[in-house]
Amino acid sequence: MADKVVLSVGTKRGLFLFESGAKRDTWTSTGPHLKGWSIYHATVDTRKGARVHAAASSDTFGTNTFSADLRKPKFVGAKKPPVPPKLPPKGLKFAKKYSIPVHPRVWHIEPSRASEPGVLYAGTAPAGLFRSEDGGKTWRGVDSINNHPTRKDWMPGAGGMCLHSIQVDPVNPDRMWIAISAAGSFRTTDGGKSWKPINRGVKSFTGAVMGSETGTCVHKLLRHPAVPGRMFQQNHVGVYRSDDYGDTWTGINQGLPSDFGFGLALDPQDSDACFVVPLQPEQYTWRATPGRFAVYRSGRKGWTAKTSGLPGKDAYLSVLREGMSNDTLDPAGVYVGAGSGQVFASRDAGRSWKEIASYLPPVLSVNATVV
Amino acid sequence: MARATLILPRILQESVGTVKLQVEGRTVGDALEDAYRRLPALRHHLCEDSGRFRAHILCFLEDEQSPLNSQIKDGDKISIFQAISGG
Repeated sequence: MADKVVLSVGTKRGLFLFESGAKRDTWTSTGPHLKGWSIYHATVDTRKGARVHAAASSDTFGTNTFSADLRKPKFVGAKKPPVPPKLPPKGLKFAKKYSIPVHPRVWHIEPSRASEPGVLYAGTAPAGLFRSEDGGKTWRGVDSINNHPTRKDWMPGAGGMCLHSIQVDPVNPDRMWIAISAAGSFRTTDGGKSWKPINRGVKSFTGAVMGSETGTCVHKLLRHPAVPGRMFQQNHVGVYRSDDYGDTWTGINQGLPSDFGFGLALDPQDSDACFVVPLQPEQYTWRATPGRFAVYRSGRKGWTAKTSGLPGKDAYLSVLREGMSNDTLDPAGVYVGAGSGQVFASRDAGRSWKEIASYLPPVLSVNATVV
Repeated sequence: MARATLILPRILQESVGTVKLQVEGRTVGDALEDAYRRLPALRHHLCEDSGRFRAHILCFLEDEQSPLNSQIKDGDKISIFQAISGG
């Protein structure tokens, strides 16, 4: 039985750490840690003790990652931070034309597999993958993806051109996945020497079904832990599932009120289930829930809206791409953070929800870890 | 060669390990180079690739905003500020 669940909540103004026992009925919190930094993602690494790693950015001071012992979170920054690469020329021209922000960010930080206890990966904006072999003290760019032949065609989305998803195969040391807005998903099967775009079946912006090329705006990519090869993605144009490690994708958004959303979470006990928060379609130019907050759960019979305990009226909340997470307990805990400062938690795989924080700074990320 | 005190913004405490240190040099630029050598992440946080300060970073010698070639003397205070605006 797990001792506790830690929910790392990254906000525009620092990091908050929430803790609960395995029942997840009451929560306590500390923070803000790393005051002044925007925490696009944070996680607890349980491979060697319990260490918190945070991906931090500042419009003024650039990027860094920070690490601390969970028991005494005194954070220390990397001595050699991940420094994001530049936007490719075509993407920079596009960003200038549409006033898209190009501030550098560390967008995501991910511990590698258990057999590599000192190895971490970080994803940045503009898109770059970085690897640390000393627990986050120093970072080095992964040139094979950062200089990928397709990079010249990668474009920024409204949030910048970010590498936001990093998924490590826990068994096969040569396989991992990344996803970039707006380029698409990539997979390596040779330990990072080469990367293959894996977007077949996903729609591009023009509505065309894609083949082996890049050019789709994946918002979040997750590997299901229980079924090898099963993956989900929330894309700009819908939710997709793959059963072949990402080689091909099938749209599963039939029944959702909107194709559009950012965040994604899973139920480790049910390989048919993913959770999304559909947001108002972008033609309205505001990306929020349409006056009613619902977390949708996929299943064999389609989607069901989960609303018990969630705001039911006049709820115009935004959930960003790191704004959803799940724990690994049974039943699964599911967590959603909103741009307006609320954090919602479900301890029964989405059936009912409780607001565990109401007035945080804008929430950029939530990440649950069983410790 | 003079010894001065460099004061950094509080936000950099966890990143570089301190926000107040003794530095040496003939100019403000020399003193900052001394700090960059001792605090490896500091240059990244203060400077663009070109070596110029990032936007919205201001450098003061005592009470005046000062260029990097400003001469310093023993006991001077060099302060780095983040410009703040909005409302």
